[in-house]
Amino acid sequence: MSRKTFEQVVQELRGKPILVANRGIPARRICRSIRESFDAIPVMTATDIDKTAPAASAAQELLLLGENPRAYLDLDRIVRLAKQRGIVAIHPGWGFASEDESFPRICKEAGMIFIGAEEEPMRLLGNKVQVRALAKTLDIPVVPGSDGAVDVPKAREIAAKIGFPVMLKAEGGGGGRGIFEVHSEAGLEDAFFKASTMAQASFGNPRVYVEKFLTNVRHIEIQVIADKYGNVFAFDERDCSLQRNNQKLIEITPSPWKGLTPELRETLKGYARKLVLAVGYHSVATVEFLVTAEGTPYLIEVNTRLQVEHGITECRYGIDLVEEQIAIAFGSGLRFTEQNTRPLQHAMQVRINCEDPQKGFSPNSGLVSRYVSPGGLGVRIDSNLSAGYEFPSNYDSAGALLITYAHDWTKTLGIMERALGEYTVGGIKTTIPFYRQVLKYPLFRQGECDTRFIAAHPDLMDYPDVARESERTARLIADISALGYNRFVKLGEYRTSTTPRMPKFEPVLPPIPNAVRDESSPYPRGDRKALLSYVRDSGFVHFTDTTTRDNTQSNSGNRFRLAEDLLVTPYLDNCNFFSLETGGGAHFHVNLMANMTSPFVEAREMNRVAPKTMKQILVRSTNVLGYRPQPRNVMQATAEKICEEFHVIRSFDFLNHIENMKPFAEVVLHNKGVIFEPSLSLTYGRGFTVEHYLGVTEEILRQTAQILGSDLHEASRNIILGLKDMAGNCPPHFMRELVTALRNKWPELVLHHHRHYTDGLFVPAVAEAAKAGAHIIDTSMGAAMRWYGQGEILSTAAYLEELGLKTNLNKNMLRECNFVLKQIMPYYDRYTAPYFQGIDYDVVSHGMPGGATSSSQQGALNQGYIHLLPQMLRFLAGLRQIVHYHDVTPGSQITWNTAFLAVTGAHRRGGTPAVEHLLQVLEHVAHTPENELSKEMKEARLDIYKDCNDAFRGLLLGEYGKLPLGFPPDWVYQSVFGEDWKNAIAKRTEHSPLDSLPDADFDAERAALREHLHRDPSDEELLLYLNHPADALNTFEFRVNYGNPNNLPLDVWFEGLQPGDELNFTDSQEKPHHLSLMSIRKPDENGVSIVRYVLDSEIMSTEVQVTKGGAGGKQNVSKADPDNPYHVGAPSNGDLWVTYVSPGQVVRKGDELFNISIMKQEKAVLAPMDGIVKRVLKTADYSGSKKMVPVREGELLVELGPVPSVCANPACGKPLPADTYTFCPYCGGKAKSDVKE
Amino acid sequence: MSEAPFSSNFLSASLPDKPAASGCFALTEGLGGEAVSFSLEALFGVEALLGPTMPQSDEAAADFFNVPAPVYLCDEVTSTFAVAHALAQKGALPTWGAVLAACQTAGKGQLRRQWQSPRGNLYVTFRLPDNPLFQTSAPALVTGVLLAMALGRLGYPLRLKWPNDLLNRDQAKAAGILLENRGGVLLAGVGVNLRALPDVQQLRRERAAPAGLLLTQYGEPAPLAPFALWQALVREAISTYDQTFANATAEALPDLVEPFLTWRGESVTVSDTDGTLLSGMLEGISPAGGLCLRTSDGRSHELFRGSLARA
Repeated sequence: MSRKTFEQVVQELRGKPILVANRGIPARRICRSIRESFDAIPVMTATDIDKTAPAASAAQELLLLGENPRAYLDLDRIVRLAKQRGIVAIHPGWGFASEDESFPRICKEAGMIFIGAEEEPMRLLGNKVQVRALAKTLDIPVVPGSDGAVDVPKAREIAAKIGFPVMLKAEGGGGGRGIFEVHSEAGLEDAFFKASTMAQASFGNPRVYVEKFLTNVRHIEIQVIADKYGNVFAFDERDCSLQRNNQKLIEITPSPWKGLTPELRETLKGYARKLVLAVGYHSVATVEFLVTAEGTPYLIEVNTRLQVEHGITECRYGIDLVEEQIAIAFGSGLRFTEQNTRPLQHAMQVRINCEDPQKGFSPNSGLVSRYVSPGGLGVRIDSNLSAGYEFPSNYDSAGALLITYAHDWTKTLGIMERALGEYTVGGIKTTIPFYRQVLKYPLFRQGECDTRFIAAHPDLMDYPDVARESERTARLIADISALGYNRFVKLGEYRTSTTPRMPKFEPVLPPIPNAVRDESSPYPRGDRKALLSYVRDSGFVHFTDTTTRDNTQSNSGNRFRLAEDLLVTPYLDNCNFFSLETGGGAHFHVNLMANMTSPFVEAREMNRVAPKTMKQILVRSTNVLGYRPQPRNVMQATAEKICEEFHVIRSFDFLNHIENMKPFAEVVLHNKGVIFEPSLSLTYGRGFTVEHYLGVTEEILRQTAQILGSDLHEASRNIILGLKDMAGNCPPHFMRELVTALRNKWPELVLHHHRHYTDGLFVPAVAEAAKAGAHIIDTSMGAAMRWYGQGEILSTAAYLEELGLKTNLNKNMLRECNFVLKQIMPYYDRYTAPYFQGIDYDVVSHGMPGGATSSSQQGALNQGYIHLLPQMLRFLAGLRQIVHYHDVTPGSQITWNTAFLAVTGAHRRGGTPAVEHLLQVLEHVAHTPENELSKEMKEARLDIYKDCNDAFRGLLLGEYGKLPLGFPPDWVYQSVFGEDWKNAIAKRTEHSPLDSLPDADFDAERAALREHLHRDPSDEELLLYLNHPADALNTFEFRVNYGNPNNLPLDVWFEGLQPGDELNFTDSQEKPHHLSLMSIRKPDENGVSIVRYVLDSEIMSTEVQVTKGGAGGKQNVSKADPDNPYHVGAPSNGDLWVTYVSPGQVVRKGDELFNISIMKQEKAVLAPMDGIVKRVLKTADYSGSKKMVPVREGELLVELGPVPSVCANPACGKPLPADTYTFCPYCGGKAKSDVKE
Repeated sequence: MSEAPFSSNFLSASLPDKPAASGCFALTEGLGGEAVSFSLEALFGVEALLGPTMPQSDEAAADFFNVPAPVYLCDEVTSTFAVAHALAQKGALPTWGAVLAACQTAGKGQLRRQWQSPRGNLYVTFRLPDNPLFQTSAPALVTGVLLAMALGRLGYPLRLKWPNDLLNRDQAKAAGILLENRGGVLLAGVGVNLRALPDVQQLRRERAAPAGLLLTQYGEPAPLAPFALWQALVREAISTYDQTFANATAEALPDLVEPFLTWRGESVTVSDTDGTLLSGMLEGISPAGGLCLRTSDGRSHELFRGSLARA
């Protein structure tokens, strides 16, 4: 072949097809040069998965390889197909077969040009052992070590000579795989064994060699290009030191490291040129060195192909290496000389991989929901990504190569930072946010990082990977719209996408006159004593509004959002309420669980829009805001936080065990601006007399006095006493008697009455209390008042006024507020109202509090026991006669569960007659004195608590605190604990559970939370987490994925949008956005629906799991054919959690193929015979992905085939995947002994 | 090395030719857990299993080493499963035959999680009987109940957290069970915390129960060496099995399990590995061994996977 000019080659190639035998980024990159430089026809190989990949757009034609994703490795077939098409030349790209020495020869035999080196030079430079030998003859330094594969004694000898640490490297390895570090003589033999086993398993070649393990080294490489006429050009170095597990992540040219001197650069270039010339190599190659901190270089290997990082060299010199490589392959002389090819720019590349750095860089695949590539000065992108592309899991995770370049390093860094900021890939995790972290690191910016940088800086992984809020909100809207219901409010599938909709929520908000706004509240703030004096002496009956807390808790499942609170509260603020009850109780945790809003943020926001009126919160003594006792230090920290946001703190204990409130009381009473309101839990029933409650009140005052260091009288002037009738079952006469007695005994004690409407006697009961001298009454707004919350304010006030009592309410403002609520409530009524509604006078006997009245009964309905509901309620009434405590959280749940379990248990054993019998026993026992009970009845009553649960057992043992009327009789213990009852009695305690509860370890909890958040949690977040770990995480996670839920209008929150709908919304920064929903695609076979929408004029899509794909039999599962011995199926229904084999792998009989987990039984499925794995239909890797794959019994999971022929190389001897193989894919040697060279 | 104070008849150091009906064997685990070799030296490595007081006479030893099924005693192994699988392959592990180790370097928890195995606790893998109840979908649950019953009769009341964590009276996990079915041989691996708790730092974050010790009904730690506990436990387990399980069918499963089931009738959550969370009331156990959960929307769910926690 005579020497041609570049122009001659261009003429020759015009219109000719050139094949890139590759995929993804390299294929696209090379096709671009084929088209732009030669006007030739770029052809690309493509398997079915890749036919429509973004990279394929660069090709003019595709050479289709069919469905086997591994077809890129079948060179014979590719060359045969290429020949049929009339391809003139093949470029191998990088990866796949690019370093297969046989490729040039196969091309040559087929009469095509191979765009790369020739076989022999490729072999001489490409083999690590050979190139080492060659380098030694050329006086090029190599890493000290063995000259070839070694055995243990030899390894020991060499290690002794070169000194530890050393590395054991697999001869067949590469790309950083198969390397073992050994730090001492003692570990050598063990490591050798492991390295060799691993090498055999990974590369089919057990041979390992020894190398000195160099610390603090940089990876520096020299790109060279040579023509067929002895011309060679070496480019400035690329610094590839930023690696993870020896895989390059960032490449830079020239090296920003100060140690890379011009002299060193020239030395390295000289070595590179020498090597290439020594073997008569042409085409591109890269010579890789490790350079120590002192600047001593060691050759490590030569890559005989185009490399991923070649682009930065192109940017530095303003050249096209691929164009030159193609021309050289066709006989062109090398155009680059030291005169015409000068380094002009600095350049760096980051590899954008579809990996999650925070999960050990685990690769991920899936729909790219959004794609915005950066642009502007100094940016180059080679990618295989686009919006809507389903990034496949079959190949490597390379998504894009982002290069920036500029006249100096600082500017290059600046452009990269900016470009990474612009770069958006939605739907899958990428390394982009990780690189943003790296770019911030001073050590990196100074060019001072060696190959250990990432391993040595685990803090690089701490970053929140969060999309813009508008994007997250859009994702939320898509989710609700596709499902038709909002799964996050946790109300079940309450509607579908076709259920008729509520009107759009566009509230009309009447203005609040400035005169009213400017009026200050009559209630003194910040001074407890002044406030209490005012309440005591003003002559008014005062009101607390519960609309945004207890009322929504009782009637709307606590789903009332902050968004609506903010609409209503400004009006409430101007009604002259004593306080607004806005927080606490179940509201606290439901806010985190279903409203995804921090209760503290909610409190702050409400204080912002309603600054005049005091805010009130309810805490549950030891349980504070949760459902089980909290350690003292958590109680105190929570109390301190609560005192920052709230002004009246009501506390109750369902056992009236006053000591349980103490840690809280201590914090609150020492804060003069905040009022403590310890409460009597009230119920109407045997033993709970006025005298009893006077006793409890005295206990409260005694504890208060002790904390304040005062007498009881003074204590009574410093608190409010809550009278908390949670079930709403204390009759009016009882309230009159109780309040009268309290006022007589403690004339200066301010009383605050709280009651529910359930029995229908709200107004007369609170009126009796007020008339008898109760100072403050809890009510709710008429438009929001329903069945189980508080009674209505205006009617209550009207009746009190008729009785001659005075009120100080702004009734006009109450009406305005009602008007706003009238517009809001229909949405909540529709979707969150309780199932059973109305007055339930029977509460006086069953005692279920507030919202539990309906929810617990609905539970019975839902569980298929509606026919037993009357019996359950009778049972409840009976139980209350035997074990006495108050019907409020958690007591009410305990009672309900006990009744439910007893009735359903009896029913299961003996049907309705058994239930009736048990009830008769209970009712008889409840109303008959012990000495009148027959022996049979004493026996029969032991069945009453037979089915009770652990919570009831705990209650009887005193785990919640002291029972208000003492422990129940011994027979209850016999019934509950059976044979063990005496032990139980011996074990029970009357101590506060606080005494035995160790303090929480805040540091450990903070560290745990940090792991979840990938950043330092704030104190407030930690507090939420301490109180409700799971629900707090629910909120944190929701916010990261879906933004602020309060951004959505109420109708969209519950119903989503329909295709064609438009929505304007503002984000938390008050920035306006526009969303237009385009389409909701029908769910695919996996139950996933794709929602497409335009957000601020950018088209995006989100995948939503609409149905449980597969479970309904919709998914196509292949069944293992029981008559086919090669079919291996799932042995049972269960979860596939680990797959050990992959296609092409040879297995021996008895090898474990995969493992199925079913309820903690792990079933190993073994190969029934020797064979080769032909297909693997499902795979799982639980330890990596934390995902299990559900499988059905008999489902085909692995298909084996007969054992094929084995490799002729005795050192390898691996079975070949197919008979047609000429070269062994494991050892690279000849597969059959008859093949001639 | 010192002499044993008793004749080694009671603690054999050679592999039995055929499955031994009973007896104790001291052995060392071979490389990689595949081969198992037997040596007299091993006898002195297992002191940690046998407890501080070695029998001082043949008479005492006969009593001391009296077990109803063979027990293989090891000092340190990768995992008792590995040794048991190897023995089963050699045909040396009959039903109830067990491998005890003083510690494990790679103790197995579910899904390749590590079962931390500090010395002082019982680590045992034993072979389950070939019985219809163990061929249902829930042999792990059955094993859990069997052990809860047996340990209860020995004075260690435990409750069962579905599917088979055993919780002590403080609701702390005192024992864990994992079943492995390999080539038709069903093995149960059991770890019981007698003395040492695993390092809290390394426990799975999402765990539903803290780790605790095996406690008596009086709340005291069990005062037994691992071997002594196993000796009593296997005897009790066999008799419990014969009385209650041998002829039982799957229909009996709920009645067997539910009395031991913790959190029944309470609000619980079951979280799946894919992050989905189901909350509801724990109703009981289905005949297939699934967890019956009623969610607030009224649906009943029978669950076979997931991690159970109190709501």
